[in-house]
Amino acid sequence: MQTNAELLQAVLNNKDPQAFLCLVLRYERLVWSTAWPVLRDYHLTQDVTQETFVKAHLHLRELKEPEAMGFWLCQIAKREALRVSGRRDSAVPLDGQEPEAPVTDTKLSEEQQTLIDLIGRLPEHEREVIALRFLNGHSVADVAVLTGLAVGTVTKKISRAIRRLQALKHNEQVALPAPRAEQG
Amino acid sequence: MMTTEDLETQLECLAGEWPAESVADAVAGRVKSETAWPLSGDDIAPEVLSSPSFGPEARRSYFYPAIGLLTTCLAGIVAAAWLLLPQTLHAALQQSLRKSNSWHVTIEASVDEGSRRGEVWFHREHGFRTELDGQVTVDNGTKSFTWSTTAEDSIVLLRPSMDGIAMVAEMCDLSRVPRDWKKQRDTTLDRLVGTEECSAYLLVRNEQPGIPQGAQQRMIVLVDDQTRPRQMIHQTFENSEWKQQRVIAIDYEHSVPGSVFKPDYPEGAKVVDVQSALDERFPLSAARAVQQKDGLIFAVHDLVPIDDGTWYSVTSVRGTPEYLREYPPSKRRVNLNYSALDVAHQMGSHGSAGSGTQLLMFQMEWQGIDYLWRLVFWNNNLRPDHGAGPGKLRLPLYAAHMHPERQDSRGVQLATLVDIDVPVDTDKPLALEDVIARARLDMKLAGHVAGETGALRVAISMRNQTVDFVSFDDISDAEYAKEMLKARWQMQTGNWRGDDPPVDWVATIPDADDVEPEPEPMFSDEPRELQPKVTGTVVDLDGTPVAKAKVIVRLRRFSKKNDGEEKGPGPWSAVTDAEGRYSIAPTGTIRPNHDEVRIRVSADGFADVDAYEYEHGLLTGEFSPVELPKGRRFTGQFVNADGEPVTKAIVRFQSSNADLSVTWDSGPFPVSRDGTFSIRAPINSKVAAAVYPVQYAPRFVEMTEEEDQGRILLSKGVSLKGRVVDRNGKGVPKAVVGIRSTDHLVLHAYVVLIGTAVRTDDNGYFQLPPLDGQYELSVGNAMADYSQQMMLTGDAPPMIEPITIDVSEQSSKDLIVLQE
Repeated sequence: MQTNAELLQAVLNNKDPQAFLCLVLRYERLVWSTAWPVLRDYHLTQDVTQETFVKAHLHLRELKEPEAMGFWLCQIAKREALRVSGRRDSAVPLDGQEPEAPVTDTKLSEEQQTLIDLIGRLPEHEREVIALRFLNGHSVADVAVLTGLAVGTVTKKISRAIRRLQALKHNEQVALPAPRAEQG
Repeated sequence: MMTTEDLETQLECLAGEWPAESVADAVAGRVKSETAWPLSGDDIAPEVLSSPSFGPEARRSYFYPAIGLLTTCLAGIVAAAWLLLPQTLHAALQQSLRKSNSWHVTIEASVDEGSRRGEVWFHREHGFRTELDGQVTVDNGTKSFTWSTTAEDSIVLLRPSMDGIAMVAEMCDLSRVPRDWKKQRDTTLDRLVGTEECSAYLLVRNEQPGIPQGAQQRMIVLVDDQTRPRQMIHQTFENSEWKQQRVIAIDYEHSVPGSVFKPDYPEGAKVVDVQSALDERFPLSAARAVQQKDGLIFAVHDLVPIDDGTWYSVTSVRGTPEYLREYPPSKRRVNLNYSALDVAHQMGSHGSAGSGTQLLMFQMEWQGIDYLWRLVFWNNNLRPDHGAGPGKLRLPLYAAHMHPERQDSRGVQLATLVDIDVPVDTDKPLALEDVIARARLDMKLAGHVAGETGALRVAISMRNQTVDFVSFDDISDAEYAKEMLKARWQMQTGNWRGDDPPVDWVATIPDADDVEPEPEPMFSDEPRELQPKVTGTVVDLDGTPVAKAKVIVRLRRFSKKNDGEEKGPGPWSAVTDAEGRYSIAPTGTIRPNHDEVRIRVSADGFADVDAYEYEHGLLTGEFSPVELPKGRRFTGQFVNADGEPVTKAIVRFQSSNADLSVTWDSGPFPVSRDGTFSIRAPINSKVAAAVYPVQYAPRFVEMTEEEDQGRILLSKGVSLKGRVVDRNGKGVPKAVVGIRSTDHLVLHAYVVLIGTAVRTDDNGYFQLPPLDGQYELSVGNAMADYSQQMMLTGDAPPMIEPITIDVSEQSSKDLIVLQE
């Protein structure tokens, strides 16, 4: 696996398009999970994901720490998603009709939507390790290399993120009705 | 709570079926099209960067047109990208189709009985035409006409225009070729497609040991010199050879005569506009009866007697214009043609909740209106002699509100119940088959309207539980009537094994006197009188009665207005007799949706149990039996750093044994005035408590083997303030801030954590109780407060990400800001 630093060097110094595409493939699911909970619209999320990488590409030289790539992309994605979300909410159709409510796209099952929503609610540093580990299938060792963290720290972050996802999911479930006391 | 393994499996499944197409090729196109190699000061002089013609705005102004121009130039590159990148074949096909002005697609598939063939023609100026399985669709860009060339009834369905490219991509069903199939060039398969020399690529499913021979499959993709897919051949490996399953051929820039795009449906065919068909079939103005309540309009469109004593009804519910403005419905995509609007959902009659007195035939939502077709029978609330006056029948209807704000203090959807008096003619009952035929016509129309995926099925169900599914086209009226009779027999006899009723079985209607009156379920907020005497039993886990057990029954009355609980009637206490029976004489009323019944039982040698009981018991006069596990006592005292007792605290114990056969929760209760507690918990279990003291930090306490746990120290903690703000920095009022400890205790089945919630004031500020340790703060409109075992609810805030704070690193002067 090529590190972020190697890929960045290839993009910046050698203008290697394949290297940037490797970065896109590495981080697009993380970016998608960041934008989806804000937009909840398949096509807008695709647009924002695309826009995030185009913007990132333009400003790639500003990224001083290659290991912060994931976090940096999350920030861009969130900003873009909020911008697009604001634009969508304030859009006034020309024909004078009421704007349509955002459509939840059938491309995502309910379970997928719930899970991506929950991932989107994780703090960025935890979302990144979850995305790299589970959505992209990197080993813990690879995640450690990509994030510049010790393997032990990555493991802890993953455990904490999993616990947080469990609690978030549990909270969704206990919303209806009030918890019931169990007995033997 | 979901286990770690389950969650990890779900994440892995999500990765395996990732719902989004890769943006890599699109990004590739864009970064190529823009001047845009990563900019640096070395590349461009600063004055140029700051000049209006090279600023971000200027770049945007030429960027999008540039994309348009470059799209054509890069068509080949982008289309080729799927060979190099993990873009799906489905996406690659869509891209190629969208770039062409006209095309013709043929799809041939082998099926058991022979082969199926479908064709699609497209022209950017004229629209598209599809022919598949005897069904023709012509779409001229503004309207779409669909008709069958084989059906006896000549009906043409008129719909708004559809996305033909998305439709043909769906027809090709390339989702079976996931992105992780291996892609490889195979020159031996190169050949002519039409007159064009095409290069062959093989897509092979990644080798997986153990895949049976018939399941091995591959796709041969022949691409032209512009690297557009021209032919796709799907094959499976059977009997030592590759067998052709599907062939999809695409002819780009195909010359198509304009006549192909004319809706040449049979003369005399009836054109049904699906947008207005249901409105025309069941106009509100022609309803048999209409009633409005809580912003919902209930309508009875059809109500006829059947000769076996049942009734056939078609009813609907919709929102008033004012209601829809106040609670705008959300849109839910059902299929390509149909998005449902969730306003309210009918749920059968309230008389059906207890013993089952209806068969739900069919339900659908169309443009915000919920329609329900059903058979109603031997219902004590639904009889011709019910007090609705001569020639009328009182039909009870209820519907659940779907808007998230239409929920009660516990987060349960509110429901509205109405009794509608409907004029009926009981003289001429119809046969069940006639009614079925009438229903089928409606269902056919509904199926046309909503599209097969969404609606073309007949469900026979009761008590909201589906008993059987019957394919609509595979069943005759007589067979359907038989299914309904069977379902009714099952319901009446309680035989759920799927047996057929005896041939001589005749449905009967019990006399009104024979039907046990049942309480109305809790779907309205109206207070209900309690039974004067309510009895119950207490037994051990073997079912042996427990004598001399102390029983306290209390009502927890939740109130949104008063921010939690308010005083209700009770409590009532009793002691069990030798048979383990007890009785109480409650007075007052119960408020469904706002009250919760709790039965606390304590007996020597057993664990103290705080059992949740549905409201039902207080209305029928009989509680469910309470089971007590064997127990042992724990005592202790909460003190502060100076050794003084902490007298105000709520404590909640939980326990579980190793095989999870006994799980137990004491429910929250206050400590004594001297800070002591005494509780009996199940034996052979891990026991722990979460303590929520006033003016001290909450904490966990794991019980040791000793009975006396001694003095348990509570720390002062730090009380923090915070603010919830939107993206403009404005405070968000009435949002609920949930606080969860990031640490927890695991007791086999239980995960004990500290969790409570507070609400923001009018300016978005909130005050946390004293805390110690690390906590996660999240914002929502409802968060669980485990110290009170309830949900705290508020207004829906904007989306705000949770944050984690370490209280030891915070000062009470800090302001924690949670921002949108």
